Amino acid sequence: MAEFRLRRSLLYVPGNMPSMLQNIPIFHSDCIMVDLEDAVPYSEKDAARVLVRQFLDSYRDHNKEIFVRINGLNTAWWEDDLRTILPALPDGIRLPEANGPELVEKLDTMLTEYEEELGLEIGHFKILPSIETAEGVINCIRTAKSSSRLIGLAFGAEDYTASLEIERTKGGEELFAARTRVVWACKAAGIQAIDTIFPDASDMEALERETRLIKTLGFSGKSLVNPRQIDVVHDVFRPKQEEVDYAL
Amino acid sequence: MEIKRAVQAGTMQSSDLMVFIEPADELEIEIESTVKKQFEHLIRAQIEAALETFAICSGRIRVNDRGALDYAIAARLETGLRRACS
Repeated sequence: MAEFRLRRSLLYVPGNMPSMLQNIPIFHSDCIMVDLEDAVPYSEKDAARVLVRQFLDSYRDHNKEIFVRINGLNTAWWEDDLRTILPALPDGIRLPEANGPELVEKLDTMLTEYEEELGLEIGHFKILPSIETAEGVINCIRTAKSSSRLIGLAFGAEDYTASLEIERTKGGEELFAARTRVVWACKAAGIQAIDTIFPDASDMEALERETRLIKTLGFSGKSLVNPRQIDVVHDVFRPKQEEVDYAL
Repeated sequence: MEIKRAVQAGTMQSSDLMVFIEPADELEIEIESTVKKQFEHLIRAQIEAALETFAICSGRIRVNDRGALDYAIAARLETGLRRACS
């Protein structure tokens, strides 16, 4: 069982926007995921990773958990991402398109090499793989047990629905089977299940409904795209008084 | 290192800056900033520190700052100089 840490809200912050990066200390999400992948245009990959490294260097005593979403292992950028940002000591790496355990194992090996080079304890850098394709969902039970660095699996519905050539709906019926399988994988491996983003940052009622649903399914938290979504998610995950009384 | 080509880095968004770099025979530094009156000397010091790190003695460095913090200034200068010297 991985060491427990509260991860109800994992907020994405674009890696190439200083106005967002420098607000990280005051965002009250449990975790921040600085994004070097989808939020950054191809021509700005070099600039974003330097900006993130400089920001993290200025924020060494960070007051919340910091993950960096690197570019996928099938791109030309991920090795430069790691080389640039790991010396600034993020807590972990969010690995996109983790379609099978071999990708996590490949990243694990690289992280071990950097930990040795940087004089860090082996296992310092955690991994949060994204399960966001049909293949990833099929393999997620093995992926969940592929590294002791894993703190959880993060389901990604946008790319998942694209891989199925279907539309994502607000009701989320099309996601039920995949979400359930990701939760099974996580519970069997003793790690946390993190749900996908809810893309409509203006519809708080639908976000609350979806968060209640994923809590019921067994997820520990949710990826977020807007800081306004944090309170809604925290409210849903806050134990009711009768639950606290029962636990005591 | 040597500035080999004209490049730019950064954006004109709030809390960011644009860095324009091009080859020149001598060192020229030009700073525009929404907070120039208060912080020009600090921005200049960061530019000079970055140039020293990259061992650059000549080139035209133009900065248009929109209230960026130190880390962002350092990052945009580093990106611009890496691009210019590559």
